[in-house]
Amino acid sequence: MTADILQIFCAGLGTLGFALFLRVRGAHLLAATLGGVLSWTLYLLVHAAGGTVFFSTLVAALAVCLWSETMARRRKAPATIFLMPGIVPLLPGGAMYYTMDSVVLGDMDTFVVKASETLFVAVGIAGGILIASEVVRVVTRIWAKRRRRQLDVPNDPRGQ
Amino acid sequence: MTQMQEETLVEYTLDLGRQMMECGAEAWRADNTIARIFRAYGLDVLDVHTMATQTAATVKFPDGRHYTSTCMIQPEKTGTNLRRLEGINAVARRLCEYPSDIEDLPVVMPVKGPRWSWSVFAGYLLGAGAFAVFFGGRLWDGIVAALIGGAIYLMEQFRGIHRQNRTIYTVVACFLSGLLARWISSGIPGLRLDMIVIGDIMLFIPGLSLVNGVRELFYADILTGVYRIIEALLGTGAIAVGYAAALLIGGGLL
Repeated sequence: MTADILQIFCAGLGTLGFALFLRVRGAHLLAATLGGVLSWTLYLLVHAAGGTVFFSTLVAALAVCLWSETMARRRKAPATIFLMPGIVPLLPGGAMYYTMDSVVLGDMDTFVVKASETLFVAVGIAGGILIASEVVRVVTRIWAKRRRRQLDVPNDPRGQ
Repeated sequence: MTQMQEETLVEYTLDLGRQMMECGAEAWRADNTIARIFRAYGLDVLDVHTMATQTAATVKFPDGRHYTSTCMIQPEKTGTNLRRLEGINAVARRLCEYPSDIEDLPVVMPVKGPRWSWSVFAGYLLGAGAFAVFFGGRLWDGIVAALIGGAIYLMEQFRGIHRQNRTIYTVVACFLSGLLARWISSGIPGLRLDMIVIGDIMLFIPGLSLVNGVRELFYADILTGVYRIIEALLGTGAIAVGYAAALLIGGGLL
């Protein structure tokens, strides 16, 4: 439990560091940092409930993407500002190092395990972001259509 | 609007799209922004297409003339600057709400070379240090990773001045920071080399290219998506080569 809290604290600090590194404006630093805390807390919760590395990463990435889209709309800023720092705790830095280390040492068994872990995490992040992006796109379209109908404005034939 | 003003507007808007791409925006976002500005000024948008290396648009002016223009995006100038991206986004938003006269279009200054920023420097220190502890290191591993993170920022400044190729820079920077990590950890007992290197690896992982590439592939922007994913793979390969060389060669030297 203490180790998990320390990890979440470090995820928050690291996300703040990356938000500064990616030049996020001061006014958005807190929201960007909370995205990282949210992603790692969710990852730990899903993993503790029996989720695989892939599934836990997918759920965490999905959540941080939804968080970014929400913050983007509330703060009138691009979602990337909140998404990029938020997914940093999920990036497979550790698995990448051990993949490389096992190649250097010629340990092919560890290489296979760590390389697949790196791949699963990358696919999990991509999958989570794709699902969330699509959900947001559909909801936005429905919302825009409803507003147009309320204002009695004809649909744009190009769908934009 | 005169013909010259109309052409100025098209070129200005394409330049905004180019700057968005250079700051790390997705291609579809740049497309969307360009099209919205044109519509705000009453132009008929026939085509807007942004790729990783170019943005192009064809518009129809109110008198029925067609006009096509392109703007090149230089890959070596592309990076991640979310503050600048937000600034450009705000300019575009304002133009869509209140289209200003062509003579009064807001100037978005181009970035001139690398600039020292204490907040970015702090980001390198904090990012590397916190993630070294996050992955299981102790406080001292974090402190050493943070110091090497600071050295990586200095190398990044050097790359910015000399406009080095990004892949070659990543190999060299990973090699040098790997050697530094190895040298410090062999001199101070109790330090964990793996945790220090992992903290510093996090600074190089091409997360933006991966995320944007996958999203662009999904939105059927295949060319830009593939470009970004190859960029991410090259970046990952460069990290592996740089650190592996440091572990192999450095191990022999020390």
